[in-house]
Amino acid sequence: MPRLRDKLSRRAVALALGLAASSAQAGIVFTPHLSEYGILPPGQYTEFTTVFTEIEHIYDKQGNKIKLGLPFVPAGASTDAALGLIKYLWVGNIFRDTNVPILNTRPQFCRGIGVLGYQQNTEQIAARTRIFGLKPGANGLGDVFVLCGVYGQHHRWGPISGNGLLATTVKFPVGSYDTDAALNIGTNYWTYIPQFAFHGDVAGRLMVDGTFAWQFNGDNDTPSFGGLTPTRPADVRNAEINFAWKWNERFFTDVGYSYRGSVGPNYYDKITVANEEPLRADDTCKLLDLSGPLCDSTDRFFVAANSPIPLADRGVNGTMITAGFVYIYRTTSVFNFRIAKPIKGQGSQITVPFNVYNAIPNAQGGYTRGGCCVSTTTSELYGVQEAAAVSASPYLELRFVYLFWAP
Amino acid sequence: MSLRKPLHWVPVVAGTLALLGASGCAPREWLLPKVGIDAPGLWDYPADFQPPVSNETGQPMPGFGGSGAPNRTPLILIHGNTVSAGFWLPARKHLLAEGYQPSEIWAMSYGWNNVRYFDSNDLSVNSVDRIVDSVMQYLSQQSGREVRQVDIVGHSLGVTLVRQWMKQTNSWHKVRNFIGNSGANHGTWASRPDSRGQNRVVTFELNPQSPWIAQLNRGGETPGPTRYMTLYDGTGWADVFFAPDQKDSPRLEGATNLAYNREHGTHLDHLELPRVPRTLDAMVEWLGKSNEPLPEATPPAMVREGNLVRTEDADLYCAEGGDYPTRSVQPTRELTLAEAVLYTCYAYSQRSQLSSPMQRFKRRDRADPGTLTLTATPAGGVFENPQFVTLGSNDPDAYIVYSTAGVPVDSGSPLYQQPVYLPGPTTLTAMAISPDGRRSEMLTLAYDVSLEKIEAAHTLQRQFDPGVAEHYAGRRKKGR
Repeated sequence: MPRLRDKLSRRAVALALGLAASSAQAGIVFTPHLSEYGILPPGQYTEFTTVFTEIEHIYDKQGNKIKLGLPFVPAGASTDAALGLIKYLWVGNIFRDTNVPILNTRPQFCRGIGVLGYQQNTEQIAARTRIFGLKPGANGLGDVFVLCGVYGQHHRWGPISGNGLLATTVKFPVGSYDTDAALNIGTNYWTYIPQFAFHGDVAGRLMVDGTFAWQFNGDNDTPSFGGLTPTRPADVRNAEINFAWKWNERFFTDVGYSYRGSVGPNYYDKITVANEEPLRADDTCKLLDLSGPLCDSTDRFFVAANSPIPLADRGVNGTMITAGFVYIYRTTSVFNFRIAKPIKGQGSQITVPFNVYNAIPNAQGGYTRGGCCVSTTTSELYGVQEAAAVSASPYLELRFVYLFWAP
Repeated sequence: MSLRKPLHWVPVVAGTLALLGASGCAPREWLLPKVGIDAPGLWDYPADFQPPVSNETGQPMPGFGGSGAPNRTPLILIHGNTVSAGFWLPARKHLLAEGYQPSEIWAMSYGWNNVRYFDSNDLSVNSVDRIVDSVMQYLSQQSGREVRQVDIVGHSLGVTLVRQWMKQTNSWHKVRNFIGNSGANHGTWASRPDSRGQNRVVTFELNPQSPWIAQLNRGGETPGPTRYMTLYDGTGWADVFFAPDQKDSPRLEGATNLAYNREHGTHLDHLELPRVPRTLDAMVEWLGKSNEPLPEATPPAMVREGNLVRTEDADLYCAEGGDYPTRSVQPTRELTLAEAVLYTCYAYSQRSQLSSPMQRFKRRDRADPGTLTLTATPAGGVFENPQFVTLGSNDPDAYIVYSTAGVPVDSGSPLYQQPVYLPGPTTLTAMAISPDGRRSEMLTLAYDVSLEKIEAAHTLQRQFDPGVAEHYAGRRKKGR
């Protein structure tokens, strides 16, 4: 019976936490679009981007694509996310006609990005999440990204011309963040991102935009979801490239490739996963199609993480391809429709030791956790949210860019 | 690594964004003087040169030039929209290396250099007039002799702008050579006739169906004694402003047209075409085929004796009807005016290489003592949208000339053939001239085609109470 109980408790914990929050935010800053890094005419641009995704699959630590929640909830469960990104871009040269070297001949740009997010788990997952006293989703304002940079000189080699740019992004962790939430819009850690990017143009028909960025992540001292967001998220390398083909002055199609991978593991220092309500053995047996003595009993049990040392995953990475089309309306507006499809990835998983406690009926009709411990066990848990989870599901992006004052 | 989470970044970020927003929203030429700061600019002029004031900014125009007597016809570089004289610095460097003297290369920032306020052709014609006059006057003082001609290289908006300046101010005789680089001489897809917003004037001018483009090209695309060259993409792909179906928009009939990318297999873009060494060399080579005007020479003049027009020590170049004569017409020594034919002529001296302003002539067989009058409809005012102005004279034999530059008109000014199209705020001058030489009083009319008018007419208050007065003083803000 202890063996079966161990097995059940391990799976139950894994079930409740076998979730992945959307990692769509990773693509906010580093997803190049048509002429994203070209030297734009001086001016002010606004951009509204919506990202929709239904995460039905995530990557595990071996790079396997697994269905979200299985085998503990029926197939079809998902994390549904809609992000709204509001971007403001300024391009100009405040050093123009001054004696400031380098900058007086190279335009500068600054961009601010605000995030609105809606992220919710579907019902089966939400129900399991609540067992652990956690909230299944999160809506609200996300973190704020501010970046500034300088364009490099424009160069030409025959039919190829282009420019580079250097920029630095700071992510301000001001987004809504709830330590009890399975999903969060904010990340609760600072990020500092130096970035190199380039724009190329081949014979006026093919536009290439690419970037390489190193994402230095700060610590998250108050992890959420029972400590399954990393307290020390790993730094991340981002590399992306996008090719756009110009059919005429108004229509473009584009394809892209992006990679993001952590540098080393994410660390989890404060795992506090524990169930507030004892788990019913018979429910779990039914769900798992098991039989045995435990399944005939009314036993309930508590589990609580008990890791004496910081835990580390194997790092995360993800690769995706994108495809879309662009329509330019007048000279003021750009409409962009794009689909991103993950093709490879590795998510965060850690092996967490747990203590198993008897659930003792109390006078209030509830249960009190018994003394330590009837058993110990381990469970393979998924790290969650932006730094740890890697979605294997596609997302849809709709983007609208508007140039102020263009006639 | 640990990054702490202080909050003192809030005012820093807010201040930075506010500064950037302000600098992006308002032109420095407007913003900084408001707080007592001189806007930085490219001020590479001789110390004794007084830069002229821009018609748009109301400020002296930044730019560059040089002192000393020029050894060749000075070259003036006219930039395009939303850039400044600094655009030409690479070209200046190259031309200096090719043997030009600093006094022979000039450029001035005539506009706002800011997308907040797009420049337009008609709003900038007076600025070009001042640029050319100031350079010729200064170099005349420097050299001790009259500098009567310049060469001009225009780029983008600068092309149609210079052509409009030559036309509206009858200044072809001042321009020995004109090179139009990537100009929307027949419009560009990026301009639309139904644009809204304060920057719409230039799109009203440069959309392919624009009446403004039609008036610019009416009577000939290469008028007068000026030599014309165009240099442009020609492939339809490298220069974003000229799509495949408009790839030859910059071409001018009668000019030396060089579709550079098409002919050389290159891919230079809109901003490269006017200022990379290879195209600059092509332009310098073409300019070098002109003879320098004879020092101390005076321009030829046309003399009318009855119904005969003649000139001394020069040839007459004339065209009939509303057309302008070009360098390719057959020259004559004298012209006998035929009945009911309107001639447009200029005189050109092979010896001095100078020419006269354009003039018109019409045969007169009788004298009419009546007073010649001219009317305009609408006769000035404040308008939300571009206007077509109809001009009429009480003498059906009289011809009407006008100028949208607001300058005094003469017989060589643009000939009124169709209602005059005014896409933006304009001072229109016009005059009727009868065959016997009588002239009407010159009309000077202000047309304030203005965004403020639109704004005033569409305030929320007016929507609720249509009878409320429009809060608009009829004064256009700078740059709009």
